[in-house]
Amino acid sequence: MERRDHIKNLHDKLNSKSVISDFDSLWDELEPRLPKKKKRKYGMILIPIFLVGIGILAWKTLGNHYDNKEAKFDKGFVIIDDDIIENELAPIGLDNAIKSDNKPILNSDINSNVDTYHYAQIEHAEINKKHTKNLNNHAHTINPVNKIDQINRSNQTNVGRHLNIDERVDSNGEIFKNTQTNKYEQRDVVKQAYNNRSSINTEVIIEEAVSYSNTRSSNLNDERLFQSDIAETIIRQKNKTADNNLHSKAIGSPRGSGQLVVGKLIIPTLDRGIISLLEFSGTLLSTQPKIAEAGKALNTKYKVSVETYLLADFNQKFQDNLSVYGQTIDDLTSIKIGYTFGTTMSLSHQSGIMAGLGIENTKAIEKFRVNNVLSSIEDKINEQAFSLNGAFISREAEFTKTIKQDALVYNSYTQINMTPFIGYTKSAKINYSISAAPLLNVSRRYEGYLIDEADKITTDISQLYESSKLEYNGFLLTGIASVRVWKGLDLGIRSQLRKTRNVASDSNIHFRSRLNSYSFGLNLRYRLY
Amino acid sequence: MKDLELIIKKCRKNDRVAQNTLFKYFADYIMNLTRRYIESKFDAKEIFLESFEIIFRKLDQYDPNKGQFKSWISKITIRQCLAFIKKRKLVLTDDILQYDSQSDDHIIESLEAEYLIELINNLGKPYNLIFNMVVDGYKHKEIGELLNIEASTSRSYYLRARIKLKEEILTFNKNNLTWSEEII
Repeated sequence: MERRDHIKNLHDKLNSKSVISDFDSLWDELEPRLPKKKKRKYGMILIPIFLVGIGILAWKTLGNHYDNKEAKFDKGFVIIDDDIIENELAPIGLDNAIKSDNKPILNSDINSNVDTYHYAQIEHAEINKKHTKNLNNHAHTINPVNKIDQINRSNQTNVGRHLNIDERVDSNGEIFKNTQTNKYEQRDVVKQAYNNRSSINTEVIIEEAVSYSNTRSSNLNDERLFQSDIAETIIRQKNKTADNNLHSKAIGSPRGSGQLVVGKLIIPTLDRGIISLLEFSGTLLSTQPKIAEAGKALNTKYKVSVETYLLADFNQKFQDNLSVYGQTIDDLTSIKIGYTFGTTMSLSHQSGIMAGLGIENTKAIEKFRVNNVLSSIEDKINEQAFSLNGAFISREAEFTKTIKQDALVYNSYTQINMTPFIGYTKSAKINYSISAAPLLNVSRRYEGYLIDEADKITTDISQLYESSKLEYNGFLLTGIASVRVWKGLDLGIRSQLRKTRNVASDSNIHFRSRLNSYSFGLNLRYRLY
Repeated sequence: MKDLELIIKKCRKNDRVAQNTLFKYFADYIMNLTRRYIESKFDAKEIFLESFEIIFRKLDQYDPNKGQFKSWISKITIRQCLAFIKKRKLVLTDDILQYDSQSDDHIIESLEAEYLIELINNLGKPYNLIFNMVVDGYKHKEIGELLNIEASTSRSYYLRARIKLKEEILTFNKNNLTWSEEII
């Protein structure tokens, strides 16, 4: 024998002895010394994406909330701006101050503005008093939304604005047509006020405006009546703020800084004015469907929806076997189809970004087929020795026990996962949405029959699969196409790709199983508000 | 072992289940190695745990193309054992013996493992150490480098160890025979 073989044989012999009786206690001593498990990167990637998505949504929402205010400002005020400011406020030098804080006040210094506020207040109080009686009767003609578009188109130049006044008059129905003559007259007054703004004393302009207002015909359009009322509210707010400001600041401050101060102060002032406006107009909402709809439109920047779905799953299983037993289980089982049902609640912004939380129950069927023969030698103590077919059987006899097992069972994996998702939705004739979500395991279990390590059929298999630990366990991609079938109710097709990291238990040392599912089914979405 | 590569791959990610599987599979082997080098059971256990800790920590360095996994982990374990022995300041002297014979190989192999291990341990240091290293696949040159002695010195110790072992085995067999005869 070669020396090398001799050494190898000796090596094998010396190392073949089983010397450890308690592996677990040694492992318990070793485990704390080992480095901690490397965490998967997916969660670390998905969580920031999710947070960024939430951030964008929040930013959009808040941004639009601010925009909403501006929109409300526009819708509530610019209407007045064009009709009232030009007709009534422009002559008194408030138009630019009210319209926008980034436009300089062109016509007069602060001192003169202080005076004009009082005049304006008196004047509009008179106007308001005069036309309040007609307000309830004619308020239905006010349509802020339509006016916004018109104003946007008309808000270019002074001349353009005047021309657009006519356009609006034309486009807003018969009631306006009757007032065209007055409007032209009005425009002339305003025009004059604009032309003379730089040289004519504002008090003169006010006189003209007051004179015009007082002589306005009784069939002045209702919108303007309403707007006059609103304008008064705003002017009062503005007046109050301007007074406060001027009391707190030196009146003789430089022109530029005074304008800036006033301009800055206007923003909250107008805001409060708008609140007053809304409070005021709130009394009209109950009797004004159009206004109510317009107000409703302002609150549809984001939607809250609930969804429920039922899907058929086409599954794939990938099992990593860590022992012979794991391999045996793998050989005896094959994954089949399954189903998923779940529900989600989502918040979607009008920009299309959405986020939400879902929970779903997934069940995957697995076929288990076993056909084997087990033999074992067992001891049997007979009452006495005896002879059987010529063979002597002693009192203490060993006999071979043979078990034939033949089974076909359909087992099931059941998983409950939470799915905090972000996505994008597009509303059109057909509504589309896509989303991505991490799968957070709530619980998973396995029901049915398998064999144990001694190859015997058993139902005691929970330790191989069961887990109720809340942990990241894969991800979910979803696509939905739906159509509106009823008021607020969408019916559509939902498809999902679900990848789980592990459907076996953490304590399972025999194998790890991953399930991939491609799911298709129905999706029902109901928009709450 | 099935899918050793897969388990190693998972162990590299510090997957506890895979590490536990690997540990259970090689624990006896590593413990046997350790016990042959370290007399004290307490110290052997500590070296055993240290070895596994290093194995798991250095698993990224294992290259299947350079050798079997078993060889790699045994080298780690033996190095740990030698480091421990060096701390005890074992001094080896150069004492060259020019003798080698294959005629007594069968005598050594014939003995049961547990008795053989006991007899090897009874050889005393450094004989048992060098004998074990040779059995574990080290060449005398490598042993010389690891123990800071000449390769010829390692060889000499090994030969002496074998001679002593043969004598011990023969004595053991004789005693065993006597014991058997006495029983009879």
